[in-house]
Amino acid sequence: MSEETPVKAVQVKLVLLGEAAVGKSSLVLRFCQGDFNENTSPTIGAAFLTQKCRLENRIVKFEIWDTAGQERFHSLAPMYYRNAQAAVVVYDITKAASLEKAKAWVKELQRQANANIVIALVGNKLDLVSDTSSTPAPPASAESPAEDEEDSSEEPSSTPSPAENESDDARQVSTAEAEAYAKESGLLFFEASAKTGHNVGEIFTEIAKTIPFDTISPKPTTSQSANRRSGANNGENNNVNLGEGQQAKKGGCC
Amino acid sequence: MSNPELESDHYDVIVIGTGLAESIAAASLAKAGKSVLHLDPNEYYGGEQASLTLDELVEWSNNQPSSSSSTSHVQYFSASTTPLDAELQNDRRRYALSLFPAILPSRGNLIDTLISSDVSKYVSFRILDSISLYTNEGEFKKVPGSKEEIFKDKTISLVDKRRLMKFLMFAAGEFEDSEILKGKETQPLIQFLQESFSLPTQLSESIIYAISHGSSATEQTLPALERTRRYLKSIGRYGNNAFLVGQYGGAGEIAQGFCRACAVFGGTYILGASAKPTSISISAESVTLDIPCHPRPITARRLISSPNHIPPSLLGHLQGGPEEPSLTANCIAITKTLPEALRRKSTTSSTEESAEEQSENDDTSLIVFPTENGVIRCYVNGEGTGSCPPGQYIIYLSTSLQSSTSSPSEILQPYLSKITPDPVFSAYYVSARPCSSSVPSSTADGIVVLRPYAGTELLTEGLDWEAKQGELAYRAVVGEDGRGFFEKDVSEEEEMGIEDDL
Repeated sequence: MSEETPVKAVQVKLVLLGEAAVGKSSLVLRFCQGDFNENTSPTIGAAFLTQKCRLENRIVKFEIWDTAGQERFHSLAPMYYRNAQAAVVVYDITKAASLEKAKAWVKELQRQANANIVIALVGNKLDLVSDTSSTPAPPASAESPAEDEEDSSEEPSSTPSPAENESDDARQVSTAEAEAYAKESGLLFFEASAKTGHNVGEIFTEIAKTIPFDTISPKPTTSQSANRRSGANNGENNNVNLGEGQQAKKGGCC
Repeated sequence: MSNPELESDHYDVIVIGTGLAESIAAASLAKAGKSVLHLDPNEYYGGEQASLTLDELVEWSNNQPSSSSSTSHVQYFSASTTPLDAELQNDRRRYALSLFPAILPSRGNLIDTLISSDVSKYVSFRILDSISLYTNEGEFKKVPGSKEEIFKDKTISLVDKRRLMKFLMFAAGEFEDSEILKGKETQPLIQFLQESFSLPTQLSESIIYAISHGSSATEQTLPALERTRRYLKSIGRYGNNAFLVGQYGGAGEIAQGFCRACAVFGGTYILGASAKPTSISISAESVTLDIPCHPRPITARRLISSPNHIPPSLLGHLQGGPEEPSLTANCIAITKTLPEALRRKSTTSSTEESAEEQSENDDTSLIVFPTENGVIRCYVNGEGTGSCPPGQYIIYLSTSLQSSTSSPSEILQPYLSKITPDPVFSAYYVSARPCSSSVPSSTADGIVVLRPYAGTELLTEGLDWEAKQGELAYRAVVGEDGRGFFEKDVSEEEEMGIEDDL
């Protein structure tokens, strides 16, 4: 459907998943606004952010949905996964437990989301490890006190000791381990840093390249198979834009 | 994965239940800066308005009692479903089946709330494709929705067209001051239509059931006219039909949208058994409750809930005794063949412009069967609503019941077979809705009770009722002089995301 008009942006819904405080929002803020805020509070106030990604033959406009904290008690609504064509599942390379949670989210995506969703596994906070060693290291402190508080209640076993400082051996998840898991599960894989911006743009570019645009179903359909209604009417156009109607002609049939 | 405990022991507001009214209240309060804890003992969102997957519906049906007991909240009973074959089992998650099947008038409380809250960005709607009346001759007759359609309709005589137009002009206007209505406000609607507008019986019934969407020909004229005016004014706002159809099951999806909006403004969400309060108590200053996932009691200044989550001892006293609830027989069925009522017939119009329309049949439709025992309503959702796999249709049937011992399948099955001869799945149940006088609106002690819809026009009025209840709860918490319901901030654009148009 996008073949004849390659300049027009294709909209893609992308959902973020991952344990609290692994840096989901920071990654998106880095991608969308080129920004990083050291003390970012748990996500408040943004319905979704949008950012365009230019490829050779098309423009992909990402509509990025944050969990809005609804992942904490596993209360993400089916609406969150609905029609998502891409997902970024984030873990923190300095917290082994966060990879286990990421794996659980991948399973949840496979259960709830479209069958052909593109999933990227992203190990964030690469800036906290200065080497590229893939040797697991003992627990080390996370980047902000606020996160420690949240984590201590969730994962007592991995509670970072405040006494330890940020050091080279902060890494708890080896590149090889995560990469092997990603490969075996058919996920894209990156290690990145929202703080420095390292590899952040690459995540979204690679997702944009990987999404099978020719088989993407228009928004209203239930699954990957195109249907005759949307085929005839070009899908989304059948949907009503409620806001636009505000200025539409006054009602009344007479 | 073990759940963390809550970040706080105190909230401004605790909301129990994620029904539409509760979710609207939660979102509006979070938006106004209140700290909100939103709990639902169910594993799914939506409460009474939930949209369920096929397996969830079967489980829900199995969990309903065999008979009704209470009169202070909504109850379901006499529920049954047919078994799922292998294909249905395999596709079970591709269905969104609504416990609150309803269409949305293009003007009203919910539309206004969706727009002012920006939740319209999360949920999608389509125009209802058609409204049909099942005639005495056993045919499905499309009811003309607009002026143009009335003129094109060859089955109405010219003189009747004039009468119909005269009535529609009247009903869309300021009829309160009209001489025509004077002294006839409580007259049965059918009498009013026949005597004051000389409309023949069949046309009058079309108006009553398919334009006013009333349940009975003898409904009082004034309330029916007020409803009719709103529907008539809804026509043309978004299309040629007064009503919108929500995608993915409608009400349940809309409720999820408001919950997300609440979460985006800082609301905390817990669903399932760990969110089911084990105790609720009230004092002069606050409401205290215990939930399994938090080690300490949680307090809030106000509690908002529908009556079913509140212990009867806290519900306060009713003025007068409880009245009998209104009973509705319901059916949810699935078919893989196009219902005849949705077929666009080539005979409806001979003009060339209709050639394009004929390429497609209706995807959504409302079909009304006027019967001696009241109207039977049928609402069909096709694949375009995203609530079933391609080529399939979800059929909702409902009618008022006089007795709780009536079998819903005995009453509705004959009408289901008129819509489709070969359903692959069907579920039947009875819902009992308490009369509004049986539900105290608010107790003195910090509990705001949301009233369930009590009328018989749930299909067209239920969604706006929920929106109104949500707004009333918001007002009860912030006070009449508080911040406006979903009042916009100056920095609204930044909050709602960076929208750039190409």
